[in-house]
Amino acid sequence: MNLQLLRALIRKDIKLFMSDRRAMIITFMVPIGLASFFAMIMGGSGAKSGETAKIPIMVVNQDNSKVSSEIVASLQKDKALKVQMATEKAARDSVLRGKTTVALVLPPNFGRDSSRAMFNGAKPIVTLLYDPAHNIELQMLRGILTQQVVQAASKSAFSPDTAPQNLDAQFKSIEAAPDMNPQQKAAFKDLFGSLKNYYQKTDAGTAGAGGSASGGATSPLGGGLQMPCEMKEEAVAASKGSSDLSGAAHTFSGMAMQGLLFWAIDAAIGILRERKQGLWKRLRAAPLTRGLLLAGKIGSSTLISLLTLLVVFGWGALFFHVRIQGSVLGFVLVSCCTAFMAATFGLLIAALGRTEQQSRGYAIPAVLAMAILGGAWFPSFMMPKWVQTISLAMPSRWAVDGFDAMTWRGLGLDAALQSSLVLLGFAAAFWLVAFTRFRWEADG
Amino acid sequence: MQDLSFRIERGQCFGLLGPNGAGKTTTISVIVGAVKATAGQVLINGRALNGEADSLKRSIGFVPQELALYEELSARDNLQFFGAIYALSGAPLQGRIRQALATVGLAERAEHIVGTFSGGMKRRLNIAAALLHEPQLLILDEPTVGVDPQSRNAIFDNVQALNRAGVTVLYTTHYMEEVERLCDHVAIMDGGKLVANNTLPGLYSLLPVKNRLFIDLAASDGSAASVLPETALTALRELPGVKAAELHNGRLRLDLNDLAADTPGALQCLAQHHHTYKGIASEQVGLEEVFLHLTGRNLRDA
Repeated sequence: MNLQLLRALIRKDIKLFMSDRRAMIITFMVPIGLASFFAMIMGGSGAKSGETAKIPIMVVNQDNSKVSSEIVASLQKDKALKVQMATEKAARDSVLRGKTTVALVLPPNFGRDSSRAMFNGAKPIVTLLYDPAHNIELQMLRGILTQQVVQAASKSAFSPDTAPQNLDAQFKSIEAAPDMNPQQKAAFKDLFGSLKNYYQKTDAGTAGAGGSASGGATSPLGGGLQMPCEMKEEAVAASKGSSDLSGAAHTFSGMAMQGLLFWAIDAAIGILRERKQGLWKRLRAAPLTRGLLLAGKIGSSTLISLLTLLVVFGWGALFFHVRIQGSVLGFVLVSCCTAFMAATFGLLIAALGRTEQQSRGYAIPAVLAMAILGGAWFPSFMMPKWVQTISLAMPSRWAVDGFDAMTWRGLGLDAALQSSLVLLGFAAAFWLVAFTRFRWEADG
Repeated sequence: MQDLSFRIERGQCFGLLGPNGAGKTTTISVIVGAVKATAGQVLINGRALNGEADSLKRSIGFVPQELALYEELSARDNLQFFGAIYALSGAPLQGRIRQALATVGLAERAEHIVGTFSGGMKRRLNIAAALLHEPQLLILDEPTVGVDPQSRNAIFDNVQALNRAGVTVLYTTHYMEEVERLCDHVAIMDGGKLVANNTLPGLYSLLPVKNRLFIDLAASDGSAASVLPETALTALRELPGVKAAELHNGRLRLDLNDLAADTPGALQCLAQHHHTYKGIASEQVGLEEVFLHLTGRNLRDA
């Protein structure tokens, strides 16, 4: 292959790309704009100033007991929630209008009934009014609420104020239990009797010392049942802090990939236009092989794609703290293979389309499908299993996975090699089809 | 294309004439190697093209019918690229660019963006792009399509100057006037076939009539006369040297073998039949008649 001629072909295309400054800026700015927008939505702003948006909930406290008040106070302290008190009617109306995602209704006598229910009473019914569009928030509130209710109700159940009465109720219940034999009944009576004695002595002692009768601190269960463990959340990412930025890194990977695919359409249109203008005929009259002509197109498109990646990831690095946490060499490799794949994809579009309109007509939906299925808009793990399987047939999926691996996942060169090899495979297939189907004499 | 065969001599200006769709562009595309013929071969300097990258292609300069230029780039950038694909670079290329721009009268516009050029300027630059590697054979495919008369004359001057400088020219067109002005040898194509291949005099010799005389008749009172008695027309047709006589809207058309020898007899015949005239015009029959004679159709209507 004559490198001097190849260089001339590539240089000409780069000059053409640079000659239309506005188009060049659009090529860079569209993926940058989309990536920045999505990154900000996903809370991946590099400034780290944005807290995660709180879930707006309403609480209808129809009980106003100590237990329900404690639950409300606990919910108000939760950093994930924005709690507003309301009547049931106002709460229903707010949820219906979509202003509140979930409303919690604590019924009358909730405190008393929930304490008794810790042993054997009828359970009070807590109603959760929710917006069907916010199922995830409902699940989240249910988890938080369960913890708070168990803690508050158990605290009440085992407080010196209420425990003796609850234990008396348990004695009666044991006596009346038809499925227990006398030995079992005796054993439970001993257990609850010991507890009752404890509360009576504690109550007397506390009272004698001038303490509060409800001084829960003196009871081993005065604070209520606790979670049997502490939850420590740790995102498994490349390095400390990178978990906050993974959303931004993924978004930039996806949008850069999408940008390249749309650039490929532009490149294809350019090829068709050159053919229509008779430029290909003139070039074919020169001592150039068809392979060299197509190689020139692929070379220039690859370089322009690499430049686009550089600008988009550069923007991400400057303003969204997107970092290459993994192998730098791997990142370069994935970038080169992605750019090469996009360039051959452009050639494929040009080869399959007879006119500009026809090519645009099928290329735009194809690119959108590739971008979405490839995880450019949202991560592929959020898709149904069968869609994830299909997405493996998309080069965009491998490109985005490769960029993810080299940025926020912080993986090594081996991870880059896998993506790169698959991308090269796609590029080879695109090249083969394009070369065999390319219509050289379209306008002859 | 069917059974197409012709030869262009070195230094010739060879015209390929034919109506749109005759196969001229396809023929040229085969010659330059842009289209592969299903059969037959093209020999340049006695040798066939051997592969797409054959250096023999450097002896050909091709000016496509389309404005095959990058409109976003300057004239110089365009020429730099088209020179580079013929392996020219550095100072030699810059020299050739200057020379080519001067040849087509665009030296002052070298740095201007081609998109801002007029149609005629683009046509001239289209030619300049084919001259950079100093080809022995210059092939121009309808180079004056959509060009104003001034630019057309400039292009004719360019082609004639190049031909005088020793460049062999293959010029395709469907304008017979262009071929008559520029070419010393003409091949006529129609329906993918070659219907004639000769010098201009050789083509004219195919016609039974060489000249045409037009006489605008006048009545005895001096007004235009639209009728001529059949006896007068018959007498004219019987004159030696008169091949045909037709009257249309007061204008008599006579096809003559020899304009100088046969005109006096025709005028004398009219006088004998008491007819005067207010105007006389003559023309030499051209390629239009040749095409009509060969194909039975007018070139302009084909």
